[in-house]
Amino acid sequence: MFKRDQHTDNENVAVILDGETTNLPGNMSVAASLLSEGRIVAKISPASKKPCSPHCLMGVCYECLMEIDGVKQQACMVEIQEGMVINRRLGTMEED
Amino acid sequence: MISADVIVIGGGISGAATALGLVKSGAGKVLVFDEQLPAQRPSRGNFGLTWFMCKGANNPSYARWCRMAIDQWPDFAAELEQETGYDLELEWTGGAIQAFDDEQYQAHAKSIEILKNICAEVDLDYPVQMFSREGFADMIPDIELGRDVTGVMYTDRQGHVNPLKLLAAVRCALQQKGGEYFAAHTVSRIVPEKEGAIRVETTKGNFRCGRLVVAAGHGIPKLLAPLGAKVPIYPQRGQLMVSERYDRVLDIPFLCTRQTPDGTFVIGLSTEDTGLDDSVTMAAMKSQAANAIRLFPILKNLNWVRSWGAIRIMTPDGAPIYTKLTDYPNITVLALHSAVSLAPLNISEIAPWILEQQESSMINHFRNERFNV
Amino acid sequence: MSSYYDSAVIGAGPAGLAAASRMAELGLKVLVLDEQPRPGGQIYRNVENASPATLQLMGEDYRRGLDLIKRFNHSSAHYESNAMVWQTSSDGRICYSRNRKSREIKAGHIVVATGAMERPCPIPGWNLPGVMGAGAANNLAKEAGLTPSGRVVLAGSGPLLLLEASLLIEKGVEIAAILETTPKLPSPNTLVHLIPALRRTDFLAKGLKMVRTIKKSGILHHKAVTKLRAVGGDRLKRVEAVANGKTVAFEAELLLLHFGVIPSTHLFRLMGCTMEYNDRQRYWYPVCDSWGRTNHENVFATGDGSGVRGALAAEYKGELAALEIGHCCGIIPHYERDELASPIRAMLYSDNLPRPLVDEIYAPAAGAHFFEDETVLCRCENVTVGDVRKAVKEGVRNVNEVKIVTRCGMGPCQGRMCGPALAEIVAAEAKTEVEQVGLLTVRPPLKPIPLGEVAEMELELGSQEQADLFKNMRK
Repeated sequence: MFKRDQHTDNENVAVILDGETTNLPGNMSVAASLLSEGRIVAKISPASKKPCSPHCLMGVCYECLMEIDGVKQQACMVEIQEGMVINRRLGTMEED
Repeated sequence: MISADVIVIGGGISGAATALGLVKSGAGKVLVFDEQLPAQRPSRGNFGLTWFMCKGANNPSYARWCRMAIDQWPDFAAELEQETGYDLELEWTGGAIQAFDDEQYQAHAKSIEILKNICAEVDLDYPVQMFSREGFADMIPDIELGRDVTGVMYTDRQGHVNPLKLLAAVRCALQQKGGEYFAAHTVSRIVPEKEGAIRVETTKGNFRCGRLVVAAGHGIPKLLAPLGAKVPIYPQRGQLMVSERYDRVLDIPFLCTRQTPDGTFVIGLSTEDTGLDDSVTMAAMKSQAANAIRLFPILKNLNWVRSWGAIRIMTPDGAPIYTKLTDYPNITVLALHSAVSLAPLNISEIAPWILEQQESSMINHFRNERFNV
Repeated sequence: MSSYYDSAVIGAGPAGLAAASRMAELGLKVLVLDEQPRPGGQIYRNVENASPATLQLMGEDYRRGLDLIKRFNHSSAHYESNAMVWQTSSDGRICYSRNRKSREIKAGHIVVATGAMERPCPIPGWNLPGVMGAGAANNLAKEAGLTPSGRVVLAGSGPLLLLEASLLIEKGVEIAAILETTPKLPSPNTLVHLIPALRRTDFLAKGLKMVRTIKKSGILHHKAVTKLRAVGGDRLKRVEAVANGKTVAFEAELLLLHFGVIPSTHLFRLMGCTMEYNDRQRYWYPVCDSWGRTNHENVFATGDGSGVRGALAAEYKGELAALEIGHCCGIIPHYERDELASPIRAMLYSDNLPRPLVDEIYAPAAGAHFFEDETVLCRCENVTVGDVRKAVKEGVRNVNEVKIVTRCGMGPCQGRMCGPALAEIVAAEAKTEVEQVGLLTVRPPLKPIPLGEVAEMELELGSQEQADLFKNMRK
């Protein structure tokens, strides 16, 4: 859904995403980093049980809420860091 | 001018449930006026316990009244749900109060003895017992008790409910049964007329009724003052906080923390002398959060999402006031906290008593006159 | 770290940066609490790290942030990045969370510079993955150098929709269609506002260039569309609308929505600031005087949060608040304040000349959006438009009462995403005005924080340190 511009030069960081070590571009928010890799689903809504993706990217909508280092946080407001443990708890949902 | 058999001023849980009871008791045309000002919305700030444990230690009549109410809750809820299609989220899973040290444990144990005796006086049992820390831990296997918890006082004869759903359901049932509900109607004056009729002046016109019920919470003094009557109620603030949703791990409600069926934790227990100020204070948030974490350490990493303050209607002895005005016996005043727990009685006891269909020796214990000694 | 400041500025966009810089330059002790990792707000997001290509594309309106931030960095204002404010009160107390710790500070004055947000508009399917705010795409470009890939539809109303479209066109993004809900013919009122706008040819030229870019691209551009709808299962597949009386449909991977910009008002409401409703733009804003002072003596509203007028105006409003606070702190006399303010007021006036025209062209009409019963209104709690209508039918007349009955607005976003539309729906159902159905009550926390953080935070008790003239000598 998004691609990185050629002139960007963000070094990758290794995080544990949903239990698996994953390399993602650094120096941006967790939400932007995941989107840049085509991972658009941020969580399963606890109310509707349906998948949600980031909507506002400015800390308003809470659609990108995910567990980051043990606490649910807005992925668009947290910079991705080496070693971060990120859980989206997507369950059986498949990502494309 | 619109005429009605009964007008109820106040559309909170007490007012709306009483109105529903009146309709069900054949009172005829019943109207409810509901102004939703902040200080008059305690029915929206409730914790949601249907609870008798520890209530009435100073007042056997109140202890008995609470037990009666709680015993009626399951049937009351079932009927309301059937009538309206609302899910009240009632869980009849008991209720618990923790002890954080031996001293508290002993105090809890002693309160059980006292209340057992009080209840025995009026032929009631008091099915509450103390559990050791280990014993109670087995009852809530999915959540860890904090280190400091030495034991738990518990009864299996009560539960918890979604108080907001209760309010909505009562209001819905009332209208389904033919009662009329008027939101955003402020009553400016109650005027007794000749031959027992009462004129009710509102911001949207005047109404007339044969009987009037005033269940307007902290709006009561304003309405009664011109009639030369008053009830000794005073405001008492409570503050609550709510967490984000979490896996369902706790089905037994504690007095200071419960988990709702949809997974949020409701936290808080405070009784503050702050007038009608319903603000949320950081001191209370801090101590309530710390207390809840001390009870259930897992809460530490859970997000706090909402909070509110609400103003209880408190009476000098903590028990409800149900009273008919001496000069105007067709005006009934209801002033109380714990409206959720006591809600079933509005239908089974209060409404028939208002309509003089039945005498109630119990209700007489809660008259306003008890304070004039 | 200190726990008392003459002034605490919340937000580091153009208003916050200008206010903080000016106050610090005057000699005030200033704290800036910024939710973002770097200063700039939304408009100047990440401008310090922007690549030459991004600077080139975004143009002068973005580059301006560099000067503002340079000035700010040079000032003595203390900057706290990633500082999430979750409680403020009009007595100057502020609680904020940073690095997983919360603390409380006290400020003599609070300058709220929290800006604006896109007007959330619940069209069917707006909660599908693949539907985003147009501002979100803009932010991703600035922050991370991300460009949409695959087919994109832009829909809604307002100049920023067209601006985003023109930026994406220049980047070569495949745009399936631009679907504007704005009426084809502007209202007669527009003419009145045209004359002052003509005095700002620079502004008009910018607008014309944008429109030309879109026209030249040959991209399908429907105006006055209705019944906008996002369709898909687990993610967006198709965007539908009615244009010229016919249903049109576009396969798309990404739908960017934009329905104008409204002030972010949660902080004001939390502090009990008096709010007023702008009937033309259909948003609430805090009442304030010409310095930005709200009904609270020590609480100031600046920037788009006090009424949407764009980045330059925000900067000027920030300056004005700073001058008045400087005066209140006893640093400058009133005549110096007025003298310094005079050229700023002139710039503010000039900047505002075209604004009424733009506002009039894109003014949202009541009932312009069709709300279907099945559409999710409150995303957090999964409450539908129909749920809200049912509550109103059962006699509820106030948004807070709807909230307690339906849970609409009770989730983590605290009603930010559903509040405006909720009021529109309740007002329409109850056949009354939006103003009459109230505003959702805002209580702490403004944003969720872990319970453990609250339990462990230190409360500010005032500067009660014992006098010790020699303490620095022992360091």
